Amino acid sequence: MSRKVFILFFLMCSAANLQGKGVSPGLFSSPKGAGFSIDYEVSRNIRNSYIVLADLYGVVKGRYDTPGIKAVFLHYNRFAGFESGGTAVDFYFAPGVSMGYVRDSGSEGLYGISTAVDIALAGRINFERGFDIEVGFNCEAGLFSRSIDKGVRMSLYRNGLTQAYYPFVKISYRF
Amino acid sequence: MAAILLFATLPLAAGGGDFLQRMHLGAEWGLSANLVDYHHFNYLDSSIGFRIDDSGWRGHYTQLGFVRLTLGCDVSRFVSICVSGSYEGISRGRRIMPVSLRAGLFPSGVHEEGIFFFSEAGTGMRRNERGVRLYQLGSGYRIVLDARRSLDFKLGAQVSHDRPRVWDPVEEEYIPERNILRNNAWYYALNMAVALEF
Repeated sequence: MSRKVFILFFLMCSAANLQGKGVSPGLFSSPKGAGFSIDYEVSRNIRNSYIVLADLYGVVKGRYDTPGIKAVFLHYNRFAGFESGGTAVDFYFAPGVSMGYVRDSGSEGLYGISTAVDIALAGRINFERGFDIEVGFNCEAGLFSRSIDKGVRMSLYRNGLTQAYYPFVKISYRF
Repeated sequence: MAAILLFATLPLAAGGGDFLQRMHLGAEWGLSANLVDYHHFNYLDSSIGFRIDDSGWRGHYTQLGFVRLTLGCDVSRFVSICVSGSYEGISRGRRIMPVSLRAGLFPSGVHEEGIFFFSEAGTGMRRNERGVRLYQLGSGYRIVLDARRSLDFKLGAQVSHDRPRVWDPVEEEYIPERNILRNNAWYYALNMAVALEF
């Protein structure tokens, strides 16, 4: 599993590097999960973001000892913003997709595969020093599938919806 | 109480109008890895009529997390203190809301980029958190974003003391409080945190 994640992250980094300028690696943190992100700027109003995170469902509360893992892609579209004293504040709407090897609230502690369509709303402060701080919310609508005795059981990915009000913070640096 | 007295006297130390300039708010969040714990329980087991004394170390990894809000003041060019209220886990299934006092030493200056050191002590606020004490020692790196805002990356070693309920494995129930003579548990954890100060 860790090798797959490394390869996935390496591919993301490579893709971001190929884009040339506007690359922003960063840290993603939320009660839902913590991990790494890479953003690249397509244009002034559009950015793509790749996130690999440890899914912390039940872990922070001490119910489970091991986290899950999830990869998220978000396509940011800037819809508003202003600038004040060298610090720019932008607001984004970001559709995307996510996939993970995680637990769900109905899975009784068992891992399964989550696949979902994401929608995020975020505000981003761009400091003159090159650091960006982003705060937002992300909702995932999708399916959760896990192995049972003789096949696969599919259900709604509940955590994607019930944890939508958990905020996330992303801190990144613009190169 | 010590924190309130300290903050009440700070305006005098800081010099009146300058005081508000030295105040700052902060938000901090992170992950805590509980690595080792030590317990010492002494209780009367009414089912067998004996006193049980149980103590020992245990290596056990538990992943926990915390969120903090801070109110701080720069007492000199190199030293900053703050009071914080938190919501955090200290052991499996045990979440507390402690208030703590932290002192930070910034060798390059409070408003300069660089390494800093901090120590922290706190206690549980709620009724069922009597006896909970937290101590943390750590270091971090401060990045100055602009004149008022900064971003800190921190690593700390935390020791927490709790008085947990005692589980009777034979009767499969908790020992009644009146039969407990001693219930001390110490948890040793490593904390990783990100903090925003403004």
